[in-house]
Amino acid sequence: MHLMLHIFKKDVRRLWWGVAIALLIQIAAAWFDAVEDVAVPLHDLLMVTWAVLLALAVHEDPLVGDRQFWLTRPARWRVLLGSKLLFALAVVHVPSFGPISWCWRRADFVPGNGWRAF
Amino acid sequence: MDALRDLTIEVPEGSVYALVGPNGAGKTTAMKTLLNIHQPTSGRAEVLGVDSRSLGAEQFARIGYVSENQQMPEWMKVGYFLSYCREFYPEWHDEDAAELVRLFDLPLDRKLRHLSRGMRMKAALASSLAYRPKLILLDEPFSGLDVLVREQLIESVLDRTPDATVFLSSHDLGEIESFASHIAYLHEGRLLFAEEMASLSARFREIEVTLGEPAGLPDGLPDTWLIPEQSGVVAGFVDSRFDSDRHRADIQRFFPGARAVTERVMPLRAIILAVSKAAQPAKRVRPRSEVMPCI
Repeated sequence: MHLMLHIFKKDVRRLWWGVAIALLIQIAAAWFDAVEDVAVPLHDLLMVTWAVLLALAVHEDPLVGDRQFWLTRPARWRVLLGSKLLFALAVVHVPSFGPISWCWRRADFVPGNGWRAF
Repeated sequence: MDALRDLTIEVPEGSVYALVGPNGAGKTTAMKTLLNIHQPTSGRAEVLGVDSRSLGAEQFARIGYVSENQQMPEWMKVGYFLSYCREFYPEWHDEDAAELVRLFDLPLDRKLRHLSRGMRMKAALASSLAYRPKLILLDEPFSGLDVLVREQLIESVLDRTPDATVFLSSHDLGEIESFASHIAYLHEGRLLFAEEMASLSARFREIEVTLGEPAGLPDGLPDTWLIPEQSGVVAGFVDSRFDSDRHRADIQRFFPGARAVTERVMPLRAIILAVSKAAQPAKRVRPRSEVMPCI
């Protein structure tokens, strides 16, 4: 777990600009959806940004080839895979909760209420 | 096509073992097989008592690897690179890392991509010596480096990890001769010899025989006499199994009219050149299974 976090932190340090851009696009998309109610293709742009960001994160420690730095370090592929999944979770999934819950609040939607209706 | 064939080497613990050979001989493949980057199609390699195919984090924490063509995280600054590597090794010694940084004069605030080749190798070496590995694998670590940097790298490896086993591949024969305890020679994926440096030096002699009158080289010369040639009254060859007692009798047998015989101790470079030359022409006339001279 320690190494997984260590590699994750390295990826964030390397790709902080991409993470920042994705966050800005996400905030802008939520703003236009909830406040302005204007259709702008920011969601598509966000998808592309996430895809590029995740690809860059994976390529930080490339899987293909026999000259990679990580191959001879004491971190095996499970640790590496875990760090990349953690990156996806932290950069794509966790930030999505903020704008989603904000949109829900503005629409007076409480997820628990739907269950209670049943 | 096999990259390596019939390769059997045992690297004694604590030795400095040099693997030499021309480009494409299989040195890097051998190194990568030891590190489980490549898996052997047959045969096996054992590293630190473990089959190379089963090497895990525990073993890699005791192996230092530096290669001339390893992809480094070029965007990292040297300081961050070392602190990034630090977390991977339970046995990392900060004082060793600091000492290596000072010794190599590494600029901690410069990115790896902005360093010269020599400095990059030094950074890689610092990141591989600071945890005092038991086994150090160096793949062409000196190629393209100036003499001073080479000297510095060799000294730091030998001085800082006196108990470690060092296995290195190199073209730099002159450099290797000064510090390697063992040497193996690869040619087209095959091992031509593997032995202690002292015994190699002891058994190779450059022989020059001055004859009474010009005559062609006799037939049936021993296979251990490499690259025999004659020019006028002087015949010469490299004896790869030199034995001073037997030597005189053999010379008398093949060159009965010899007026003078000189034996010269050969530097490593000359030995390797002789072995390479001896291995090459045979390839053109005989099938592969028979090409290797008796070395």
